[in-house]
Amino acid sequence: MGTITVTPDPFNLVEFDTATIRRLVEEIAGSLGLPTDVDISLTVDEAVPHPIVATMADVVDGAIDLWCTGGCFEARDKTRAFSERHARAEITAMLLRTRDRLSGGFESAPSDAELLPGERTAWDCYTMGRVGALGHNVHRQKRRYDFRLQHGFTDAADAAFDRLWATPSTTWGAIREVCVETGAADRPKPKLPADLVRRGSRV
Amino acid sequence: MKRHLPESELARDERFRRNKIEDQIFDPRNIAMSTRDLGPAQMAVDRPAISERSRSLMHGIFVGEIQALEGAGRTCYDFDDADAPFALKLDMARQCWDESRHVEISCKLAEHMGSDIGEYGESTFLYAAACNPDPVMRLCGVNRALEGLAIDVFSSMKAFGESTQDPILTYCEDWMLADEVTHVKMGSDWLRRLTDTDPDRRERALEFQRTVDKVFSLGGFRGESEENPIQITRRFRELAGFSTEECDELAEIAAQAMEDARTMVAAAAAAS
Repeated sequence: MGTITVTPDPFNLVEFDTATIRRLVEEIAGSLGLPTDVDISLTVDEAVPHPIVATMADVVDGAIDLWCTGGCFEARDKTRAFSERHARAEITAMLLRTRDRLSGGFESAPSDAELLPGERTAWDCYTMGRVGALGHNVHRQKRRYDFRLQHGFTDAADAAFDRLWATPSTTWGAIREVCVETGAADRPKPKLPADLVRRGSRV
Repeated sequence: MKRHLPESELARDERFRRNKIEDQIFDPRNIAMSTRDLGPAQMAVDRPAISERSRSLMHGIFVGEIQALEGAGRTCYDFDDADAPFALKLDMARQCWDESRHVEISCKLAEHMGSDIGEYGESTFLYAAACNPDPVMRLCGVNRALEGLAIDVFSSMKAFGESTQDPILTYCEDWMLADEVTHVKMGSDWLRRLTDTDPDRRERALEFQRTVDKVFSLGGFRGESEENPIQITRRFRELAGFSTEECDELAEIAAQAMEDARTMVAAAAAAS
């Protein structure tokens, strides 16, 4: 049986409860059919408030390594308060992406720190479409706007978004093809690293 | 009808939640965040969480538009003609019309960006500045300071819309920006007219404006460097009646606000 670790324990800067988050991870991992012998660690950077929302979901040496800002789980209308609705959606998304990495056609995808913004938003679109289909809190237009920022405010980008959102299954290769199709693959490489916020939490 | 309505009595439906300013000021995460490197704060597509930051900022502008409508409406009603001439009230009535349109534009923009009315908490500090019992102070605090801030925000967000080739954001910001220039100019014109023979009152009003400007520079929120998400827009401010010296002074106030915030954080960190 794999272990589930949530850090920090306890939270000091926000009104989050480690046991509650751990219980959510366990419940969602079970419902998604993740292998039960895989270790899962989730680090919540409690210093980073909403609206700085960022998540990373990797598989390192066979174990699931999740990281997110506290802002991801924070109630939008109450400073420092925990929102189970947002936490459920974000944890589901992170675990779906690690399931993709383990056995879902994304085995060859680079780590989250190495993904380009277009690749990441395309994968997120595929992920959030599935999160929404599972009945969680997902705002489709919010995700469309995120996608448009990286893929363009064009009909081609919107068509790609709709396709990715609705598909029950795709692969890393298909995600890269979408980036070519919308032109996101031709955009200049960002000046800032994709894991900039996470690097800060290691200071 | 009651005159001088306090912010605690503003009418809102069940979608809105009010933020307490003290919760933001005394948030224990502020110290930790002050040491983090999140890259330049200016709005750009490769910045962390740029879409959620944009949505949250524009929601703040949306509730600001509601409060600006309420503030201008109150100024039409709160004063006798001896304190506020009828022509000033006509200007405020016109501003109400503009602000109503801005609220509608902001609702449509929120739909485009993917946020809901009331999704984020509302701070009522704009309306608080519109509660001053002296109409000249209101004009300086709201029209010159806060509508001036709106010029900076709309101009920065318009530039962001252009950089991402988002036509809806770009046009929404451009249309609202045009009105804000008029609102600031109304403030500048009425300040001069109402204090023409009373230099002490003018100075008190300008001092109130400086205070509001400093509060709303929010420890680095506004300035003229890449570290500031919102850029001071000199061109539009000059169109709105600001002199070059006044623009320089505002830049200085903003820089001082950022320095003050750094000093406070350093002191708090040393004490913890």
